Amino acid sequence: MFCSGDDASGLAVAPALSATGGQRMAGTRHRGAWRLLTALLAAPAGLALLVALPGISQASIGVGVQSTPVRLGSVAQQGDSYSLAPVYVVNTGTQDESISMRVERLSHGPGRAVPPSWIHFTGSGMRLAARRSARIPLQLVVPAGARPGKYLSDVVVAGSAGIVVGKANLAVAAATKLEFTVGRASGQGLAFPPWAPWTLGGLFLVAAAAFAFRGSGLQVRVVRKPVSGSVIDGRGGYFDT
Amino acid sequence: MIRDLWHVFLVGILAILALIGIAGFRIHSLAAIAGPHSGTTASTSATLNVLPTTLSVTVSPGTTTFSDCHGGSPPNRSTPTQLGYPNAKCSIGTLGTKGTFPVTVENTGISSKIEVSASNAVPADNGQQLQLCAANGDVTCRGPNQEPGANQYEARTDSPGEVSPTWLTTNLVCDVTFDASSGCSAARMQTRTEGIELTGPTTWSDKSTSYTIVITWMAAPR
Repeated sequence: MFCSGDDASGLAVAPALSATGGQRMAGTRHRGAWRLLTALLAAPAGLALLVALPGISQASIGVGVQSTPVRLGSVAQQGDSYSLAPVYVVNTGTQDESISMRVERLSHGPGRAVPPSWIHFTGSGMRLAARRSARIPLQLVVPAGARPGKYLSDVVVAGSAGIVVGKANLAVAAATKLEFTVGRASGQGLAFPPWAPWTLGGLFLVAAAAFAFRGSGLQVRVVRKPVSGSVIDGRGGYFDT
Repeated sequence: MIRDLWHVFLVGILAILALIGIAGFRIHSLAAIAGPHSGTTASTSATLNVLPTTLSVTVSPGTTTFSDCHGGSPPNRSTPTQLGYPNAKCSIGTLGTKGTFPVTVENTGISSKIEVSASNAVPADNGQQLQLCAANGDVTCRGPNQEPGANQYEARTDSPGEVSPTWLTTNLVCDVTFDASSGCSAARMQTRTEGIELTGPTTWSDKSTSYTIVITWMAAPR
């Protein structure tokens, strides 16, 4: 029927029918190619998502600080301020973090806790990119009324990717020791060097011994022996022996 | 005769000086040829990776949500994502022998102490906070059976195979999952996966429907 050659309409239809079939075939080919293309694109895209999504969902936060304690090389004096060696800080996470610093007594050991107001951080509150590090300067300001002695606390560096309201925010921190000694001011009225009490005690003993000697009535006669066999008498004159 | 000898001697000295001069010039020329300013040189660069000398800790993920909520009394029973009351529970992961522990804590620095603390729960409207209470903390739980009372909550971390959990307080406490001897010593690159369970208050007075909690892990000197 479709291939009848004596029917004009048939002839007319046949090509039409033939054309429709071609379109179908072309459409089928088109869809097949589209599916193939989709499959070719979808596979790598899916793989990329598989790789990327855990990275996104498992973005980490991390912070590190130098393990070497922050120390002042000299004895700090009351009323003075000192620049401490800058503290090395590193972002060990995979995203940018806000870095904050504080002083807190965590370490055990002898020494007074450092009052937080004595330490001034220049770079606290800074943003640190992933895997980047920085050196943050510290300044020690010792007030005039500071108690002399050894001080021990910790410099705590906290890293946060930002607080998300309504969530459980996981944060990180790292701490390193802070150590210094405050000495007595040289102009202080009651300040004595360490050897002063011993010297004063010795002088007191000598004075007490002299006083006791005088009180006892004993006398000591000093006689110088002359070279030529003469001796000097109590009045300073020589006489022969 | 003596004069002739002197002449020979002087000529000899001059000859020796001339030889020394020629030799010196030659050596200088050779050094100049072999020097860095002439000829071609090649170099290569090499990267040397060394162990870290820092105290550091890395945690993933950075943000998470409490879910798997259960408990409470009708009509205030928990939904899977909303905490009910009294004393309902929600968790990050599921704790237990066959649980899931989605928080990874890694000591990425030198051997150190890993400690952990948590904040009070702050409502979205910044109103009445839920105080973190614990038997080992400064704030004791005032509810029945030593559970959290009104406007209090309790939280603990746990990890696979851990016998005793770490009860969180607002002060730093040892994260015992790192140290089998109940300490908190963590070796370099030691990693632990943890889950967190929260027990809510008997009731709360704030009208907010979400609270924010910050849990902090710290690497501290040993």
